[in-house]
Amino acid sequence: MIGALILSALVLFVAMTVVAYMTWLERKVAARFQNRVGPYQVGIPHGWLQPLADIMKLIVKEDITPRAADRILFNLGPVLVVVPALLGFAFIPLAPGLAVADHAYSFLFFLALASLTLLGVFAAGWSSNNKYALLSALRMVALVASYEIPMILALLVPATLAGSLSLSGIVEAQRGLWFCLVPGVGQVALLLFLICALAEGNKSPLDLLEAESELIAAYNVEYSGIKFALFYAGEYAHTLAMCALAATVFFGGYLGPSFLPGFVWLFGKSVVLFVGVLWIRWSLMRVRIDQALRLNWVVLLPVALLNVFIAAFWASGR
Amino acid sequence: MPSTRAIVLGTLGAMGTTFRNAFRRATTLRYPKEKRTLPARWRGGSFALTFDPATGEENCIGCRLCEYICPSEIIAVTLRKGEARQNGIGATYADVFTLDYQACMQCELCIQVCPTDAIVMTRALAPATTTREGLFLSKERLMDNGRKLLAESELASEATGTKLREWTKAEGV
Repeated sequence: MIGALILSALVLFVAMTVVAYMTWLERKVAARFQNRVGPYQVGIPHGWLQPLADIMKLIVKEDITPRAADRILFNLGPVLVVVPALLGFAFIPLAPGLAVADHAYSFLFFLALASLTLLGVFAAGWSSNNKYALLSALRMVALVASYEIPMILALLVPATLAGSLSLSGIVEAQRGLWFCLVPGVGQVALLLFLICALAEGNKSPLDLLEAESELIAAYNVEYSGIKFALFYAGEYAHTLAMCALAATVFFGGYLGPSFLPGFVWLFGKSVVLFVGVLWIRWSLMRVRIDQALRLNWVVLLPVALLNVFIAAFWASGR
Repeated sequence: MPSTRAIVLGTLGAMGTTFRNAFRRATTLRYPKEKRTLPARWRGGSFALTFDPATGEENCIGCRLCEYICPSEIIAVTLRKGEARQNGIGATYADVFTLDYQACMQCELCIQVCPTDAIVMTRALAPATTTREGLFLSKERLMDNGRKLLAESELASEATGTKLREWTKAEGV
């Protein structure tokens, strides 16, 4: 009991710290892609104290609740975004037999929690009583609800190949071959998952909910101070959780040469995937909402379905 | 709807471009430490009011032409009549001359209209400050800049009102 508490506190602390430093990494990598330097002044080598400065700044800023807003929902929104995003980390196996919550259906729990973020976003957009926030939240619902389907179909492939719905079972099944290396189905599933995760995590080119020219900022227009910081943290935590999930189900999670402990491998793979997401994000332009939805229903969904069938044949033939 | 081939090629092309850029040197200059070499005719320094170095008599006659022409309406001049100057001409001067550099857009119109070359733009007096007050140029500060201009000739910009009018006449513009 005590051990589980300590472990969960540790995972929470590490996850929060990593999420804070993800913002720094994103700014550094984005600057690199644009021939800039990025954060440099705060903290001597390359502005490494920048996330702390940002957090301090956002904490001391005025926290405004608009008069026309629905107070309870408005204050609940950020919490509903951050908590599910962070809870997801509980199911990621860190080493053989080591996870905060190891469960026979941990994969399903993870996906259910990842979708809960949507509720927080919609609560924020609705309660702000701002037309742009509401439109943004509606777009988010339309997009995420549709992209959820091919994403889960893509994630069914590793589950089918492993014959297990527990994340540790899926990792153990990859001792022979990482699922991203399974010929055909593995790569297609990974690509599908990456595209859908971009839409889920509101990353460009599918970040329709924050099209600045149409919707000012996003569902969080009316938020300021620490609540805005929570949205920001929730978004990055969600992206990091998705990267950790991809590392777990496609890249063998904690598996790796034994000179480093398992969680270091998991962390390294997640960071590499995150940089890959940033590469996509800072390269491609935002698509229109109809294009995004057409891509989902016309291309991704049939491909994902077909891929699951092929993976099922592949698994049953073994 | 563009063809699938165009979409795939466009995506890969965009990602290739960012990948190449990621390995190029950053063009950022860390301003207070590193400074850009300014072009010879740069005029984005600050403003200065000139005066006659021999007599110390200011060139500004308070005619307010610069105030009238300024598109940002940031110059304010109050005309005063004073006693005759030592050379006997010109009996007016600017009692108050303020220039709010915060909204200046460096259009140089005030320099072009100045009949006595009183107001000039300088080349390299660093205008960057950390306060709003630092960008508010009173007459004393403008005269002070004029003294700096006399001390260091490379601070002066190329153009004065007279030079610009002569150039316009010669070119027949």
